[in-house]
Amino acid sequence: MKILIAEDEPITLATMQFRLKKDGHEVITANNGQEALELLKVHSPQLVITDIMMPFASGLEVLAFVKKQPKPIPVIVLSAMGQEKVVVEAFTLGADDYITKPFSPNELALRVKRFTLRVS
Amino acid sequence: MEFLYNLFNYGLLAYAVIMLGSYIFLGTLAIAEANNYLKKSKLTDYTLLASSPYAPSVSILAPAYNEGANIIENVRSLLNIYYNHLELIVINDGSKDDSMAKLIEAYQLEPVQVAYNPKLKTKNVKAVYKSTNPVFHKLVVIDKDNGGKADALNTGINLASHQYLVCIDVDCILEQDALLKLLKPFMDESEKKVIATGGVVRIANSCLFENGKLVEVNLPKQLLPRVQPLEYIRAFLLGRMAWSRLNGLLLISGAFGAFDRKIAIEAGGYDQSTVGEDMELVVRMRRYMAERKLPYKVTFIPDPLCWTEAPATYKILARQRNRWMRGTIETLKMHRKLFFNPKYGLLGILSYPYWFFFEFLAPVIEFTGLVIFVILAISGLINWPYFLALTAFIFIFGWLFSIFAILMEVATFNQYKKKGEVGKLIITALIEPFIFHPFIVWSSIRGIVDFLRKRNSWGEMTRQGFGAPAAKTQAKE
Amino acid sequence: MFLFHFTIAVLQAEVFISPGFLYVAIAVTTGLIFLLVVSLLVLLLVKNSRSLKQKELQHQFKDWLVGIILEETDVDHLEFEVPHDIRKLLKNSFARQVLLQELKGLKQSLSGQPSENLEKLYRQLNLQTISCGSLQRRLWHLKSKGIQELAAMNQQGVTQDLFLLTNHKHPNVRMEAQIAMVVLKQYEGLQLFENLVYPLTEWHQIKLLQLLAHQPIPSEAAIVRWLHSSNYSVVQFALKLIGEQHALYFQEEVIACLYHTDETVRRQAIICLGYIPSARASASLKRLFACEPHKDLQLVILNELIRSGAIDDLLFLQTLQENTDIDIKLAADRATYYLLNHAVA
Repeated sequence: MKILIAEDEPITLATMQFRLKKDGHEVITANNGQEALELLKVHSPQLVITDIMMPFASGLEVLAFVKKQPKPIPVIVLSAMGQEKVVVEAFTLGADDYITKPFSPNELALRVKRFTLRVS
Repeated sequence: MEFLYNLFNYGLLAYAVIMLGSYIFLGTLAIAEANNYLKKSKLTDYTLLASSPYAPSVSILAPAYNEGANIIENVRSLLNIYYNHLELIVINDGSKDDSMAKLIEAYQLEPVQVAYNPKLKTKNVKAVYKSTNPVFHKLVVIDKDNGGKADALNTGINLASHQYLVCIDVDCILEQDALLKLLKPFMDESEKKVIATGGVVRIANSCLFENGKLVEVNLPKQLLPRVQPLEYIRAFLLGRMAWSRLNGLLLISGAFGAFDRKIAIEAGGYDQSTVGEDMELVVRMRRYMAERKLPYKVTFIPDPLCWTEAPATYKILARQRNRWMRGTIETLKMHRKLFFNPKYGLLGILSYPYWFFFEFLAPVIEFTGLVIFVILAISGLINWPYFLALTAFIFIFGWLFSIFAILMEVATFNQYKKKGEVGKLIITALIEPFIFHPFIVWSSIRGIVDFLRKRNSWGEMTRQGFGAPAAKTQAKE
Repeated sequence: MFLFHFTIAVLQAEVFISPGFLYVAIAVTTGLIFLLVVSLLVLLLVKNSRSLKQKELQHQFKDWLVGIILEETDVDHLEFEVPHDIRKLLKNSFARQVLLQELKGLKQSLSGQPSENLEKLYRQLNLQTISCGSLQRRLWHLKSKGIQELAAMNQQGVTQDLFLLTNHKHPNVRMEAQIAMVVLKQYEGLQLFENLVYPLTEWHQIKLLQLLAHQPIPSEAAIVRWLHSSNYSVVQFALKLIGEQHALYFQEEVIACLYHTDETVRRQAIICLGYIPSARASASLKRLFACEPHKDLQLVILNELIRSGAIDDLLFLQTLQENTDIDIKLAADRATYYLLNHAVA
């Protein structure tokens, strides 16, 4: 599966990329919201993983952009905030899954797998 | 006669010395405060504020008048701020363009009935709108008759249901964590009540924006907008930081500030009779607390959080400065009771007099001096070498202060990182006294004259838009 | 700002300032300008080079760190491999600082095995000496930095030092130390919390809440002691905690707080009852409403009745429709509306 990950912390981003690549996915990375939006226009990933708090455009922008497309793709939202209201808000805005930081890369891989099964 | 002459001389000398001295004093305080803030900020994870159930609840008030061209974008940008307890209230102040129609369409708005008790008197509210789309549930749009910025804000205050108000200009671009940083001071005090917090307004000219977010900072290319960051750095980083430390801050920029809603209402909301409504409200809120002997604080955040466009032509700049001067005078007049009044503590003993003497009187004295100089020059009474030396000194001192401000900026937030930008800034500082400052003095004098003539117009601010060639106008009446 | 130079000059202030003095002043000021410009340039250079160096280091550490993070270690794993070039880099103290920052940040993003690996690496490379060293420094922000690092990297050994720092004279250090204690020891980190001398800021409280909200309360007695503390901010915090955890079994104590002398505490107690609704709770709220002098708090009560109220409260709310105060009427209306539409009988 082709996955786009947007995360501003470079090593966390690299960790996710590496882990998902290990599972055989093709991973494109963006360092911030702006880059993510630009990459989305060029590539057509089948899944988007995005952090919420990023410089320039926030993860919410990315989420909104993806969900506006004619063929919306699933979006997993990563966030340091885990309160109930925040999670509910994310789902209201269209998120398909929500992972709180600190997260385990293996868990992320598992969640991604769920979407792989869905896609196929 | 001799006595008066000497008194006048000594008086003016004292004035100059005190002013120079206070600049140095404020400068030093500002460094300490900015340094303190930066250190604290590095240790803070602000995201907690975005989600904690006990974080301050906020109503953002954004008055809009004929912003048609960009209103959808601006609202969208504001809606994408990540903050949980937030409502965004856009107040359409009787725009003559299609702003309202655009909003209704883009955000799927429909009129709703809201029961609320309007505590402040405002012009008629035509309707209140909310979105049918749950994605936009934070948005509230008020459609009302034109009444000016203060009136629009008051309408917003009436309807707002949250603890704190953040008043912004709708075309101000906010940084991602602007709201979080602006609100934290309200959570930081345990002894005093923080009633208002101000943020820094930065110059957006020539900066790149995309999707309503700042993408790249550039020093303004045009000359006139280029001088203004320098001015703002001096005023914000050196001036307001220092006043904040002293807890004597009188002014919070109308473009971006947060207020305690309850206190704002009890103090009476924005006053519509002045064009300097932002400053006037802060002074009045301070008075309110001081009169009730309640310990309070007005703080200031030096982080560059909000970006707005600065006037690029002399004409518009003149109007802006004219308005600022009128606003200052009106506020000073309305609160003249504070003048050297010990009942109001620092506010009365230091802040108000400082504002009176060095913000209001300064251009007057300078202008008068110039006139006298011309007269004396014609009469051949000038000691030229001495005069030139003195002038040189003053200019050099001014440059020193500006360079110091630039140094502060580089040491703290260092927004102008591109090659040569700091150099250009320094050169701008050098030519400022020739191409910019006299013009400002002149506009201020015009402002005083207009005040005396009791003209009461907001003037028009034609903006160039963030990159767009279309012009927008904003008029009060 | 370039003021009344004209004015003074024309009024022939040479009476007061001799030309000689003026020339000296000019020289001094010009000298200062050069000094500042030089400092500016130096500062810019230093900042830029630091920033570049940091990015470069980050890049160099990246692959190695990712490897360590994703490494599956077994019980007898002793050490992580540190390649020769990384070892060379780490001889430089700036590089060690950068690595320390990275580890701290990563620890906050990643959990599970990666988190443990990061901790091990931290100890293996002796980075805790840097953090402990920061604790000993005089400057407050360095102490706070050290505290945060030690807490983030789960260094249980330093709790004694941290405990001492919870009484430090600088408010930020005290706060960070206490938060660190809670990070490391959870509730145990709040020993003798009820005796806290200084008031807790709201920020401090929500930080503690973030850490404890999902940790079940171990000792009822401790919380009760907090509720009876003479430090009102501690009481406030306890009420927030009870609310967050929906700890119904503290109901009686919370209701008792409804009559506390401090307005902020009363307000918090009312809000808390909104999180632990019950018939008894709404009865107490109604009773308080009748004798509460502050209208503000009355409004909060009405707000909370929305959450804790039941159909029986509609009668009470109806009597308020007769109230002369518009705000009270409106609030009662709103509460009635919510109860009718979202009734939880």
